[in-house]
Amino acid sequence: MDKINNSTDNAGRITLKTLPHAKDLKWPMLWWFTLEKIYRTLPWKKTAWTCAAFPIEMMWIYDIFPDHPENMATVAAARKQSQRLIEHAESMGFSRDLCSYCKTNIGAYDTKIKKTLGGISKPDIVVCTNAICDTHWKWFQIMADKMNVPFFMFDIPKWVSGTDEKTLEGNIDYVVDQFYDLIVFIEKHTGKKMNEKRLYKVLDKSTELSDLWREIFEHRKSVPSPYSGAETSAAFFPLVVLPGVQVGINFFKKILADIKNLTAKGEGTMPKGAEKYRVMWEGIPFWYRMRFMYDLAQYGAVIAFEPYTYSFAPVKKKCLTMEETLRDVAKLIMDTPYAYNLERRIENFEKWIDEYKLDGVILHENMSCRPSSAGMVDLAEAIMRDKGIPVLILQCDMNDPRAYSEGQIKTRVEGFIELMEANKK
Amino acid sequence: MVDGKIVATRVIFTGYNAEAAGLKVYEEVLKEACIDKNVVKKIVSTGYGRNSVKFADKSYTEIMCHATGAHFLSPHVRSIIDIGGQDSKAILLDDKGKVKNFVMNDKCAAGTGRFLEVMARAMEVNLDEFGAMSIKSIQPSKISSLCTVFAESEVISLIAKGEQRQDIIAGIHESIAARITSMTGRLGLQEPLMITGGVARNVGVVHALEKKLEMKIEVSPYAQVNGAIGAAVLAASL
Repeated sequence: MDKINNSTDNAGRITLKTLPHAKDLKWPMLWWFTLEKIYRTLPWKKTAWTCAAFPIEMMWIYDIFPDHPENMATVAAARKQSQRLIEHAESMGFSRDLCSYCKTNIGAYDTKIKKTLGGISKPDIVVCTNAICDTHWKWFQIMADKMNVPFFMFDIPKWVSGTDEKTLEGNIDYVVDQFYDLIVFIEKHTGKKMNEKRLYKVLDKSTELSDLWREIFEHRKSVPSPYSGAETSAAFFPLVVLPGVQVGINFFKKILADIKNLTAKGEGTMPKGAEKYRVMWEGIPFWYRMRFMYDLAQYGAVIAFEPYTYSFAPVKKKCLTMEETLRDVAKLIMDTPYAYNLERRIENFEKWIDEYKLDGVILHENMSCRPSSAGMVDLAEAIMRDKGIPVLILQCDMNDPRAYSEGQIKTRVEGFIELMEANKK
Repeated sequence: MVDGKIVATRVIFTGYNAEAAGLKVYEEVLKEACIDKNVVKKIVSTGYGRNSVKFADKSYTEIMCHATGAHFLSPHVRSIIDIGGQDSKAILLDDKGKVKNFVMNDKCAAGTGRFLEVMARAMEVNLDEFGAMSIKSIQPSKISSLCTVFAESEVISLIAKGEQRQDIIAGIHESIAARITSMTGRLGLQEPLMITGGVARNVGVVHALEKKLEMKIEVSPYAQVNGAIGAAVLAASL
């Protein structure tokens, strides 16, 4: 009698092929980790804590090492440390309902866990923004207080549909003013000086990095998919902390060449003929269980597109003056349709579904991240209505493994696969 | 199932060895139906232990199986609420019994059969009498807690306050109905609506749900094995 044929218990049956240069991700990572060591050793070099959506380029312009609590929290999760760090933070009195990145960071700092396991050291300054996350504000403030380090908070208004020109211009002025405040803050607390030549150099490199990632995404439209979410979720690392330096650009160029090579041959990340369903993954991945993405392959499903990593590479304008540059960056920081603007979010999603020829969408309703989870029911309804493809909402968490329930997630995913299968008939 | 007719059903506890339980229930149901193993053409497994049933030809999720089972028993049904021991779900289906969409409870025992088991223990009432008892209630108690453990302590304090047993039980059923209603709101239920799963046997929950949803609910005649019937129907089409 035949064995059941849609079980994931034979994990590894279908292996996702990684790109030849995928392993080269170690170079930008190694570069970043080594640089931190050097910057902490040399007394005249400075380090900062930064966060997602903060213009990291400002740190590279000032030659300040941008450490990244969220990035290190994902390292802790991937190294299976996040749960104990979260539990440690909870034992300190932080609520179970708080963001799991925040708690991982608090636990990592307090327990002084090793850097290779997701540890993080005290910086010279803490800078953050509430552009995409309202928790950042209090979290970074608490940590700056705890570490007794100067703290700068970038308050970013939201650009949603219906925001009129006058309000928008006023908001841009408000953000640009804060850029000048930030410059004063950095110069006061680090002794570093603004170098306009370096500013343009960093911004040019940041633009190049963004452009390369978007070009990679152009090639991801190919069928079969040459580059899945299983790889991009790690490979987009340079966009998180290295926009403005060369090392990430070198890596992306190699990846792009690999993808072009693969698509020219008509090959994909899955074995020939195995790609049955092209899926969009929306939201932050389960960092403690990246195997989830590989498990999907056992059903013939590939993550062909994910707005999360794509959102790290917006179109950046080349500007000639500093004022013009700051106004453009201000606009970019305020404009986050990915998280806030439901009408444009639906519009974008439906465009991507067509462009990437998607058969289904998985939305990660993340217990830790209200901004990225808000509006998901409306988003799912719109997609199902307009595009006629199934949408699965998975309730889970990006960094807290306690939220991941094996059997329940498996049933939901298999139900979703059955819907895609029926939809194709 | 033989030639589209249900000939025998069997329910057992899974225990810690899902594979052995699968084999045991298979042998028992064959014995009950007086059917020899060799004449069985196809086997489909479903439910949380579906992948542990190694002798099955194929496995399907309980979502698909409940939809197929409900459609087989009542082809006019367009929505299903399934409340089982470990989870609850709502399914929309088309006129061919195909799943259009589904939602499942968030990861919490409240709003599942397990919640009722815990409550029955706290109330010292046999689970089978739970439903009938609550129907007698005139003024259901208010159970506001969203968590099974907290709800249990809430129930204990209501007992201490001297509230009527049937009122507390009716309150428990209303809290499940409220939870299911907010879940199904995400889906948009369409009538006719059927309830499946073991909890469908509890008239109190069905009554509370009908009141909360303002919909008539058809109880599957094979509520507890509705998914298994769906699996058998799917096996016939393999």
